[in-house]
Amino acid sequence: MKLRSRHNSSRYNRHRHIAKVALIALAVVLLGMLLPTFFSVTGRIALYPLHVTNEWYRTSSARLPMFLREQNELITRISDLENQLAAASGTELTQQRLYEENIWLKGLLGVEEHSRIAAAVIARPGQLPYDMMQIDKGEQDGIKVGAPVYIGLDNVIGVITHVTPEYSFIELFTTPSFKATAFISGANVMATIEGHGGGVARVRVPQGVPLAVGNLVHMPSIDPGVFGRISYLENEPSQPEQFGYITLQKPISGIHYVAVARDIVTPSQPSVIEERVKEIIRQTMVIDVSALSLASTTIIASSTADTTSP
Amino acid sequence: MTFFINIATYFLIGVMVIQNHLFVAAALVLLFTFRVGALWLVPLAIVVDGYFGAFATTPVFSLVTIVWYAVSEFIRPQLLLQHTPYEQA
Repeated sequence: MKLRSRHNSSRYNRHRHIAKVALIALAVVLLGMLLPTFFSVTGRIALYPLHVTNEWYRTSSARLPMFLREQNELITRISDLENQLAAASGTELTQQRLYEENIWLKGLLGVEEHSRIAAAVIARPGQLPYDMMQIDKGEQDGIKVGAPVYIGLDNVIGVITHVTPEYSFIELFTTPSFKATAFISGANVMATIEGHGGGVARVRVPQGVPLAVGNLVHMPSIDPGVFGRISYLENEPSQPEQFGYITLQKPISGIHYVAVARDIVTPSQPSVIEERVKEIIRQTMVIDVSALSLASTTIIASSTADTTSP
Repeated sequence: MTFFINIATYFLIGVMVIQNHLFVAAALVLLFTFRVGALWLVPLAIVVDGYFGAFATTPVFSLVTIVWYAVSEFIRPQLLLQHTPYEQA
C-alpha cells in the first residue's frame, strides 16, 4: 500500500515536472511572439554556422559541394530519362498495335499486299549524274516507267524514268529542272517544286504565305506521297517571292534499298488532287481527343459543317 | 562516444530543418527523443523559428516541439525497457 502510494506520488511529480517545463517553453514562445525581432536576430546569430554551411553547400564552386549538387542533379536526370524511356516504350507498343491493326484491316478489305517491289540501289550520284539512281530490278520484275519510288511507307523520293529488262533508273525529285506540283501543309498552299540538285529541292511561294521550317511537303498526284519537310527558308522581304528548301529524309549516300510502286503515276484530275489536299488538311486537324476534351467539340463541328455544306 | 553521437544528431537535426529535409529531420528527432529526450529539442526549435522569422506569425516548430516533448515524455517510460532509478521508484 505504502509502495503503491509512493509510486503514484512519483508519477504525479513527474507529470508536474513535464507540465512545468511545457508551460515555461510556452511562455518563452509567447515572449518570442511579443518580441519577434529580438528572437529573429538571436536565431540568426545562433544558427549562423549552419547558415554558412548551407550557403556553402548551395552556392560554392568547391569540389565537394559541386560533386554533391551534381550528384543530386544526375539522380533527378536519370529518373526523368527512365520515365521518358517508359513512356517511349508505351508509344512503341501503341505504334506496333496500330500497325498490326492496319495490316489486319487491309486484309479484311481485300487490299492487295506487296503492291511495291523492293530493289537495291546499285549506283548513285557520284557514279551517275545528279540526281539519278540505278536499281537492280527492271522490266522482268514488273518495274514500269513512271512508277513512284519510296524509301518508307509514304516517303516518295522520285520516279522511274528508264527501264531495261534487268535494271532501272530513278530520277529523284531533287534533279535539276525536275518540276512537280506539291502541297505544303501548315501553310496550306499548292506550289511548284523544283529540283535544285545535290539532294535538295525547293518551292517558291509569294511573300506573305506563312511558310515555315518543318512544313510537310506532299505530292498530291502520288498516293501516298510525302516528299519531306522544309528544312531551310530563304525569305528576303525586298523580294516578291520566298523559297523553301527541302532535303531528302535520308541522305542520298544512305539510301541502299527502295520500294517501287507497281502502279505508275498517271496525270491526276484536278478534282482528285483537290480531294487529296482536303484529306491532308483533315488529317492535320485530327488531334488526340483524350488530351484535350474540347477537341471533340471542334471535330464534331467541322464534320457537321462538311456534311451540311453543298 | 555516445555523447558525441548525440551532439552530432542534434546539430544534424538543425541542418536538415534548414535544408528543408523535414522527413530526415523527423527521423532524427525520433532517434534523438528516445536516446536523449525531447527537452533539448525545444530550444533548438525556438532558435530555428527565430531564424526563419516565424515569431512574427506562428512559431510552428516551437509549438509542435512542445507538444512532442509532452507526448514523448508520457510515452517514453512505457516504451523503454530499462528505467532510470527515479522511474523505478
